[in-house]
Amino acid sequence: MRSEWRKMTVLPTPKWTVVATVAAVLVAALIVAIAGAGEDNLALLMGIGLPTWIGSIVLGAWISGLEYGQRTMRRTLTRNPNRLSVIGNKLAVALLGGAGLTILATAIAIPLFSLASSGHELKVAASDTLNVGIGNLVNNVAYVIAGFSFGLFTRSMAGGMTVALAFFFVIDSLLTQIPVVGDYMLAAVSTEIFHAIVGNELVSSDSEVNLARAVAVSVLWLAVFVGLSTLRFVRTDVD
Amino acid sequence: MSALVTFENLTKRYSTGAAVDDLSFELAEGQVCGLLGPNGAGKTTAIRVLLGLARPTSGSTTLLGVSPGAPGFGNAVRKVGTLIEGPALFVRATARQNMQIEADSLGLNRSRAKIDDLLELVGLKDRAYTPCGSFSLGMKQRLGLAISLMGDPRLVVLDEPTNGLDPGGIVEIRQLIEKLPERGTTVLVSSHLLAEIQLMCDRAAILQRGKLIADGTISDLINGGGRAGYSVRVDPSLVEQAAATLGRVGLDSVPGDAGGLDVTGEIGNGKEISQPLAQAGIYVWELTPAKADLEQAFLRLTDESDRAKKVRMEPVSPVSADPVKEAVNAV
Repeated sequence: MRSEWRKMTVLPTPKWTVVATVAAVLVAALIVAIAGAGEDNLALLMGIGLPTWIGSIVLGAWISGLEYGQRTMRRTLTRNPNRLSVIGNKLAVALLGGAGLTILATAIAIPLFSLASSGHELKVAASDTLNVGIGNLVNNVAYVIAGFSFGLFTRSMAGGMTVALAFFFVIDSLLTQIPVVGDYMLAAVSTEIFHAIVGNELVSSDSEVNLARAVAVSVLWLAVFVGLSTLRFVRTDVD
Repeated sequence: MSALVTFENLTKRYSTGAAVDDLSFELAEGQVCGLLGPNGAGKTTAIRVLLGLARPTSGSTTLLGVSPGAPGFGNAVRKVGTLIEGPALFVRATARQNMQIEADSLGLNRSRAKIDDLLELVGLKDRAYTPCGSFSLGMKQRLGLAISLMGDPRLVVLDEPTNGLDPGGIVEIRQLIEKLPERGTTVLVSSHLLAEIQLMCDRAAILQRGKLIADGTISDLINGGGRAGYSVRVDPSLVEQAAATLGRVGLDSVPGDAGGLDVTGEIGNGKEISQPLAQAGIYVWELTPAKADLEQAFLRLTDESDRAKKVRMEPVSPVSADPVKEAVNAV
């Protein structure tokens, strides 16, 4: 796991992911300073949420697809031939990276959003920003795991990112529009979990939340992603 | 001496056919062994199966006495340094960072001094903080070799370590490999650069179309397959006729460089070649004693040699149809 963490800290993609995420938080704070947070808290939700979702997908897909892009998987597997252990180490580091990214974005956003909204009637409370951060911290586990699984399955960082982004922002979101079936899509249950954490008031929602069902469905989805990609990884020869 | 590597009736089959076919072979500790074969002979596939990167179709391998997938294989493979089909480097990381990643993978603590030693050994200490994406191919190969030596491996498996290198780079890598036995490291090196294998290895195994066709010490292989002989140059238009003439007196010959023939057989001295040729009206332009080498042995043992033999067996016209050439030959 130490070597995976070393890759995370010395290679450029994670650094640029952090830079892009922080930049997005700063832009969101600037919007709040100019136009206010808005009654629906959109700038707050988008400012921390969207960049850390994308960042989490990138980190997940990067750590699993990296070895294929650099043709280093054979080196990794001749140091640790237990492929399940390789997956476990990589996934753990990706989750740590995703959590670190979300915590950093939240830590920057807490004072910044309060300050930026201070000149407007609607203030952003530090506790609200913290709640949104915690909600994203939980939600981003799904994004990291999905990015990781798709990267491993496609054996490509770019492939993993593309599939994950298409899944979350197009396929899954569209399927939530189908009655009943839509309630079991990952986007729908993730939103339910997020609402349960931050509270319906902050996200201007009055929908009913069934947290236990949402968690169970999320775990099932992620188990399918990880299971399929692991199966492919374990059963395939490495170039 | 115990066997560090064994291949036991190993077969690896793809949809296109067998890449490795019933390979049995052992490598004892302390040797520098070459794995030879033309491109596509199955060398890399055999190595990948040995290291657990690919599964065998049938048969088995052991590495330091343990089969891939068996308990203890992880410990075994961590005592083996590898360089397979070029160095596997993180090109955006520096040479030192690449080494640190390897040290972390091996669980080595306080690896700084070790990294310095190895970078010094491969002549990259001054470039330790340079991203290795900017390295030449030779430098990357040297870094790959340094990485393979992290953790003082008992065995180093090098697959085509000189691929793509210029002559200077090839010599550098060979000199590094030659130093490894001094460190107590056994080496299995695959290559199709026969002269390099001859210079650096004690022993070689030759693969062709996935099958082991010869295995022995370098001198045994040369003596068995690459007999000493002579290099003969005659009028290029008479090369085939010369080969046929020499064949009639029991000498084997294959086309050599610049219209010449490489002649082997029971040859006491050069007269035994020049005399039958002169009697056949073919005058020798040059006659040079040739030293037997691995390349000759290899050619004889593989298809190349078969192809050359076909050239030798083809019927030739006894008299040249070109009067000018005939006149020149007579002179």
